[in-house]
Amino acid sequence: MKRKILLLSSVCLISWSLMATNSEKDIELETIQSELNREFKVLREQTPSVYYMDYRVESRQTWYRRASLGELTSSNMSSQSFFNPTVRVGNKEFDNTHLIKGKKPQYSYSIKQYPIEFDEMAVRQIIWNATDEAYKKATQEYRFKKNSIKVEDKTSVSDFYTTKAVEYIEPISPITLSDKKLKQIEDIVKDASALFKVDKDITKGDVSFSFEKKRKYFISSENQVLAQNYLAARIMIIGTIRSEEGNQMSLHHVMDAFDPNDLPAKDSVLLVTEQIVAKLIELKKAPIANPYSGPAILSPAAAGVFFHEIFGHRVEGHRLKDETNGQTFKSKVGELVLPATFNITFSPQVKTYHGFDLNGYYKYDDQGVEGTEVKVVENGVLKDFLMCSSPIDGFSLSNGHGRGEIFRTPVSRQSNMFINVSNPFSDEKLREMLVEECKKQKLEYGYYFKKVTGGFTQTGRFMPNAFNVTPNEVYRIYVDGRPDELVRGVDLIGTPLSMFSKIEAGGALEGLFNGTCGAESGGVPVATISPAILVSKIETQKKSQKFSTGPILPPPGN
Amino acid sequence: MRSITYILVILALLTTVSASASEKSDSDIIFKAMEDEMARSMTELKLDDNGTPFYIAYNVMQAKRGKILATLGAIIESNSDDRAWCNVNLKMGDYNLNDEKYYDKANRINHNDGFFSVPLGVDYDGIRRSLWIMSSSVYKNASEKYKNKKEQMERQGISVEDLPSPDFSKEDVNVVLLDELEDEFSKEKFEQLTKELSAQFKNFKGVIDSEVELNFQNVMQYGVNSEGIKFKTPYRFYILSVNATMLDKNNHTFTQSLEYYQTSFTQLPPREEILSDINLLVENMHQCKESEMFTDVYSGPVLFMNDAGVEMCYKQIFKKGMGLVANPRSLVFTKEKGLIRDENKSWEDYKDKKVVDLKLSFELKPLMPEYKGKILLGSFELDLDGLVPHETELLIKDGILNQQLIGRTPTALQHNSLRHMRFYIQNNSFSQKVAPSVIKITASKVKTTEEIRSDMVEQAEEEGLDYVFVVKPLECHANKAPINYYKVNINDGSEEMVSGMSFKYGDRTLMKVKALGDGECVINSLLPDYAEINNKMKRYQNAPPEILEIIRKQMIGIQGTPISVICPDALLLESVELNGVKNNIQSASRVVPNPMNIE
Repeated sequence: MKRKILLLSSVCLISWSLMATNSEKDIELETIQSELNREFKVLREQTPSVYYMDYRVESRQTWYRRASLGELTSSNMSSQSFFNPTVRVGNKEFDNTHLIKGKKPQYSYSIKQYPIEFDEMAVRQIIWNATDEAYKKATQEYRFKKNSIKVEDKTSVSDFYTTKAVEYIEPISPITLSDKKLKQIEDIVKDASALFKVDKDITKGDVSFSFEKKRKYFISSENQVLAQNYLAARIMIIGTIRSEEGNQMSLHHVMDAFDPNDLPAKDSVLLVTEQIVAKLIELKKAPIANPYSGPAILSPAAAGVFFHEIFGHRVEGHRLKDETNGQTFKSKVGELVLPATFNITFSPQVKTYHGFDLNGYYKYDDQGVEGTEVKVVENGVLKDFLMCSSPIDGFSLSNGHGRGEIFRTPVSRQSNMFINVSNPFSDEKLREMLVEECKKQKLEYGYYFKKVTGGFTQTGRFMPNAFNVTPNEVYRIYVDGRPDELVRGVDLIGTPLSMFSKIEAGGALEGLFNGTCGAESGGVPVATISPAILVSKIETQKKSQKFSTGPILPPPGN
Repeated sequence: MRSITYILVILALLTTVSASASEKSDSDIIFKAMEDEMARSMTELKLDDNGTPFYIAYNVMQAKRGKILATLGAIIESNSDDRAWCNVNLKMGDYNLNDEKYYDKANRINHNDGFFSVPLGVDYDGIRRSLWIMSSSVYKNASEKYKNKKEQMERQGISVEDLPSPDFSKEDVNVVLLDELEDEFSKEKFEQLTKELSAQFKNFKGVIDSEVELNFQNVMQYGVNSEGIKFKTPYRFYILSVNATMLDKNNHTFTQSLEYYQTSFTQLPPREEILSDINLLVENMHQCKESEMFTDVYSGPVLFMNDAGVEMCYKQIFKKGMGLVANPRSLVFTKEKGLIRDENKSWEDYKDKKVVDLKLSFELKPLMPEYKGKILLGSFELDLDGLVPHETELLIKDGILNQQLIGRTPTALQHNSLRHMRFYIQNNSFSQKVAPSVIKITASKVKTTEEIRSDMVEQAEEEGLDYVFVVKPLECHANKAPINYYKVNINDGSEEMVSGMSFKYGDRTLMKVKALGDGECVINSLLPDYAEINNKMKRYQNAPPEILEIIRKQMIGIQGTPISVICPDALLLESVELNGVKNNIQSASRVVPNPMNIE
């Protein structure tokens, strides 16, 4: 069947290449590597000995502009660099990171600020101080864990799987922002945010621009030497409107690209802002929905968030090692976990999707392992997990999904998630199927979740293993053929296994959802490409309302 | 009815740039936006039967701020940002009884002001819109709080007449427009200075960590209130700090710092002087490392010289509440006790009573820009309530408390502001606090240093002590430098540096001063809000000293109101307790050799 593509952002301009073939090392990298070798040579001779070390350096430049209701309200630029060493004491079977049964994993950090301009002496001194701190903490943890381990807690699963040597060095990215470009951006955010002035009940109308330019180094005692660039430009539009009874409702739209020059042009930003303003005004008058249980269609974007939250977090390998975690899929390998027509693949090295930059793109992960394609679900059957350098039962190798912010220890995280179905249905057909399902369940209407802001999920054992997806554009689709009706004030809730069993079909139209996922190793950029899905039974609950009676007087000048 | 007593326009006497026509026009736009919205809010802002506000104050702040951090000649962090925001203070009721000075602990009703961002550029509509949103929000809180306060008072039969003071002071109405200060921001210059200074540590292999940090901010504040006060005041401040860390004999790290404060980048000491100070700092650290580590407890006379007396004793007397800064008592409603007057301990109860030794007097000289050729950073022309300070405020006369420093919230005994609402610098940002300015401390009886030393020895002999202590700062160009303890042998008068000492200022420390020096010392410093910091640090009270030091640096940082102190150059306290270091256990040594030591 011919597959259609849903483009969620606008025109894509000239793209540039992140990939590098140049393997010439820079002097900074050489300094870090020689300092690591010097430290490792001494520390591996100690008791207890260090058997593995890595150094992560992240230099970042950030530009930010925000305008509110037509005027610039924030403007800043910052440059900062950080250094974070990892020191493993003991051996790969049992080291200082070993998980004690029933205890939550504890990560210790020895992060230091690091020069934004290279100076050999400064670099060496910072590394030396941070490594000493990390080594002392690791030794202390190792001794404590050695003393705490009980016979019945002993496991055959190693704490670490060493990876192969690699050298991959990208040249420093020449992309930067000129004053002229910044001025243009200021005009865009000002003019776009001014569009929010049209309605007196709009209490917030912000348009912001950010560009983060990172250079990351990764050097380990296993001869992994990496220098990679990560660029992230974003335009974010956020509007909030107050309903008559005082409820505050927000809509937002994010436009991401690696290169700021690839962000949509001014006309597109204005157009999207106008659409948000119009939708806010419509939303103000929309009825509040009551809790509901019945069939629903999740748009490609909504389904993307749904799969990311409910499925993606549960195939992150390290969670299956943690006894405090729910471990939904631990014993499901080889079993049907989704309809047999569904396939899920994570592909970190896919950089663009029909001209759109994918947030979850990277070449090597934050543990120096090449990001590889992982077919997690094939024909509905669970096949694999996302793995970092911490093995789990039956899966010892990392597949390059060890990710984390510089401030945190990397764990297995998602990248670019591709969901596809082998027998997709057209939008019209999905609607028909929804209506049929409603009739079967004797319901007046079903729901169409068009846009979501995000969501969260609990994967632990103490709290219910549930999820919450927060839609902000939801329609009722009536069985009797009435026009679709916009409603407000609902959250999509449920438990994962029950929800998966109720997925009936997938759509032909695919959509991209770019975002930033926050979890224990910090915020990492991710993308999901998903079709729309039809679910025979979903549950909604009333959204927690931010209540405000709003300003007492009319806006000034009225 | 309020009366306008006088209208005063002060032209800035300090370094100013000539105001161009467009700048004047910018001010006019900002003031017009504030005045127009205020007029509307004063007459129309009303909800249910709560009535309109009796007082509104609007402020608009425009700020450029930044931070440059470098180590060993390399920049680690370089940030700058432009921000603008407005602040709304709104009161319900009247001067005698309003929503202030009341805290409902049961329902947690406390706030009566708020902040909101305004456009960076001068935009009449944008400013009014922000003030409009914020005014409504503050009005709702204030009217709820006022209603609640009146109801609680009625329930307990408390009338306005029963209250010891009005809730808000009536002040003179001024219009004071000071010119803005030159924008000195130069990323290149600032980065160059921090890089050059930090590179000096490349010469010192014993220093295992070092940083030079430059924090700067340039702020313009515009204010109007419903009484007719209208003002515009600039504020520009630079803090340059130098930190160096070494290992002591027990392998514990110790850090010493230098801090420089100035209102202009060009007035910071020349880099040669700072470089020479860095050399002195490192030399001092080596001396400290080699010195005897004091592990005992000492009780006896201690002589504080110059800055040591200011940093460790005189500044501490400006603590809020149990010190010279008033903490006006509020009405507090709790479920258990109902409505009560706050029972916090305060010097409010010590009026006309002895609070320090009878030889000491404290007064404020806010309008004194310099003293004997030295610029006084504590001096200011206009406070942040828009009030012009008086030339002199007598706080303590011959040891007896005359008055505390208060803002527009009266205490039981003081009903008018001492006009000292000041900028408070904190983590590259600022807030406003009631704080002193130029503090002049005089002594009715003084002695030469030799006489004081002789007094000290005499007392030690009487008490059978083998040694006494002298505390003095490292002599350099910094406004704040490490303070060293010296053990003075009674028998031969020899003096040696000791390390690991700690001194804790208490409420009665200055009650008994044995002698004061006949020389004068003039110091520019930052006065932190000790009460607030102590509250924050309380939760870490059991942490080891080295951890406390990190917490203090990261969470508290450098903060305070710029002040100047003119005081006697020596302060001999009769009985002081000094404690030695408790953690004398050797820590694990460094396994990998210092890369600085590798040729």
